[in-house]
Amino acid sequence: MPHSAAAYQAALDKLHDYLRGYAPFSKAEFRQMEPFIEIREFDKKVQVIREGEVERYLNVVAWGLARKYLPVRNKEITIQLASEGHMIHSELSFHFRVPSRSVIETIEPTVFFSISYESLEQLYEQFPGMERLGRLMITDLFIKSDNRYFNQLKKSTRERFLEYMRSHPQMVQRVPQKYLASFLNIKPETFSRLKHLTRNKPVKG
Amino acid sequence: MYFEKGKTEMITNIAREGELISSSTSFLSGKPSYYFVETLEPCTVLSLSRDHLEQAYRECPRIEKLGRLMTTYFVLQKEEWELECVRLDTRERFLRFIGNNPELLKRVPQKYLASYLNMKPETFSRLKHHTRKRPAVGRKLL
Repeated sequence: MPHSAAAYQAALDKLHDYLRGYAPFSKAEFRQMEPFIEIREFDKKVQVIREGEVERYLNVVAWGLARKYLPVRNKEITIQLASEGHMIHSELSFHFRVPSRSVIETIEPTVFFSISYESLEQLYEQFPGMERLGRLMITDLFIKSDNRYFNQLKKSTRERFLEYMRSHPQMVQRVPQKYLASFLNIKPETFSRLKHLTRNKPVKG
Repeated sequence: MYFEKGKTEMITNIAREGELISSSTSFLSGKPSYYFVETLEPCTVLSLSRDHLEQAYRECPRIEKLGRLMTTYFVLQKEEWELECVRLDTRERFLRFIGNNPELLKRVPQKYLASYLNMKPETFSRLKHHTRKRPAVGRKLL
């Protein structure tokens, strides 16, 4: 999946915009960060991190689509789906330097902008201003994860399905149904039935 | 800390001395809380308001690092809890929790612990009874 140099530059600019959404952050500062960023490319259906390995990288998807799942008793429980602009890594393994219990696998050919654990520590040391960015990104991660947890516990299957379809219509096209069903904690049969329901009654407005 | 699902209270966090409790998402996002935080025993808490915390971040950049590391820790703790809920079965969850928090069993009403571990009170009772009869087996499994 070759991309032109200009395409990479455009993707990096997008990454800069994404980071700027958290904290003020000049182009010059971003340029200083760039040498710490690695570009990693994977084909589809590749395990980027396997169970038992220690996660070295924090990744942001530049192109493509990946999922994180937990192998449990011969089943795979999908816990995250990440498309362009989203951050994905095996958090516990990355931060505590312990073997990963989860697997990250690409669904489509994927390019990551990755930063290694060592580089991240170095960045924090060299640029104390990064602390604020780091704190705000992690805060956002916490809020998103809590909302997801809350929705899983409080909302009904139907509500979870409809809400996701409404907020992520493009993911429904890109993600195999079994992964979506697992992510939403809905049985595949129920997922099919619900999908059918929404197709028969086009959403008003 | 709990939220209401229909008429039941679903407990998501229990904090004792030295531990932090807050409707974190509301605190961090500034949006209304979904959760209730309620005392089980008489409590004295040390509190920091959002405004004061923001002020501390502004005035002392080193606090940013503390804030980042603490927030990272919360995310990881939460992640660990959620992964355990998926990975471990009811019995394993019970044994692990009781093994790590034996004193909570004495201090917290059983129905709350059962709710926190997302199991029926009857199941909790049964597991408790079971481990008391055969403590050695329970311990080894941890």
